Amino acid sequence: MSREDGPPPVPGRADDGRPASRAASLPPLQALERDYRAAFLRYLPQRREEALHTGYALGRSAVTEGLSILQLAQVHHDVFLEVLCDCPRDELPDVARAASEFFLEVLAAHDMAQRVFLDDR
Amino acid sequence: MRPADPDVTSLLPMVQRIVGARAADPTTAEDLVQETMVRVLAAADRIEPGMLEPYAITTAKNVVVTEWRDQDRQRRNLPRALDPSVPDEPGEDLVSREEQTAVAQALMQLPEEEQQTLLAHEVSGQDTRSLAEELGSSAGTVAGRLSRTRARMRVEYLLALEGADPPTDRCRPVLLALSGGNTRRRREADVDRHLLECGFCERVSPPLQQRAALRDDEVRIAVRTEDDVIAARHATRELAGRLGLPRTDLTVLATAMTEVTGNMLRFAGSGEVRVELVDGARRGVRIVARDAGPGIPDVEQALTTGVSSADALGLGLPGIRSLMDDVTVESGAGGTTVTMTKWCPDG
Repeated sequence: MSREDGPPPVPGRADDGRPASRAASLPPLQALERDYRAAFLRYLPQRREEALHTGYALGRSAVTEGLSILQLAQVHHDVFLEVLCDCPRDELPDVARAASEFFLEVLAAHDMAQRVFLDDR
Repeated sequence: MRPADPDVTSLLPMVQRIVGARAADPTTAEDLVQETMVRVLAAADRIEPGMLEPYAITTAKNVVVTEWRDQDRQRRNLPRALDPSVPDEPGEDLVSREEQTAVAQALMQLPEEEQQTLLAHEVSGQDTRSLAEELGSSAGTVAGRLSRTRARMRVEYLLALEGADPPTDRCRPVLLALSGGNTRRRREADVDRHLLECGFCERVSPPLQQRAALRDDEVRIAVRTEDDVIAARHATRELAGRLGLPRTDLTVLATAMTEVTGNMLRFAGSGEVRVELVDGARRGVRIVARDAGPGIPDVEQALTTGVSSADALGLGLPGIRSLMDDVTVESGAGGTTVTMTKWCPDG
């Protein structure tokens, strides 16, 4: 095994990056939506790096499991819409900013994979 | 100031004899010898040639007499010495004496001229401008010399406290580079790798590292757990944010940090990362990640997309190379060092 193949551990998932046993019974997309909702709701109140790291790990796991960037975008917007429905009007800009920050982290692994692909051409 | 009398250190045996014959015990004698030598060194540039030995003899006797007077005064004043404050911790006095001894030993390790300049500045209070006039130099040059002398003094002090010589020829230059706080010298001396390999330097260097940590354009994080990865991501984002980089670049930097520290934990078990702002001809953020793991057998292959990859997507090192502007990977039996830089778009 070479050194470049090591995904970081994914919070809430097994060491090999695959969903943990509780998530194993769910299809990858549904497991991602559940984990995404939990991580995003954890990020909203305090904006901590731990939650951003979880977002990155979820995005990386999605890449290795073959989920597309379109599916990631769909999950993000579904969860974001749920949050917006319960959000006071004066908090909307702040929540939207937080959603943008979190989504960037989720897309980061896809971005990296795309750069590698383009570099390799 | 003129060049020191070359016989200062040769006076030591004589001073030891004089003091030893008068002091109450060997520990007191050792302290008084050091006190004498410090005074002689401090005054050496004011003594006429050939008069240093008589001066040392007189100083040694005076130091002993002063000690006797102090002891006598303490005895007489003992009844008044009731101190309601909290007494010193047991051993505190011993520690204090050890520290004094270490300072004296460290001073003796410096070259004569450096001793003289340091003492003139720190003990006699002579400013750098007048020192520069005496040395035929500039105040800035003298300040630079003093800074280097202090850096060396810190190292010799720690070694004297440790009571042992460093185990390798590399230790002293590494500790000096660490003490001086110069990033380029640290890199040239390969300080971080040596600290991972050398138990002696790892043990004695924390005070020097804490001092270096006071820099506000550099962050160092020991990576042993997933929490350290998160701390490293956060530190990278915070430091790089000062350069006004776009948020997408901050995410890119955090991604590269996550990948490099993830590899570190997975393949070496632990390591260290340093994040620093580069402010030279170009501005940017540099990350240096080092571990003492088994190394990468074929670096070029490891940097190649999709080779033997468990996730078959070429993340990890190829990903880091695609994210950052400059990436170098050095690997061998002693471990792996990844150095990567992201430059500001405006240079």
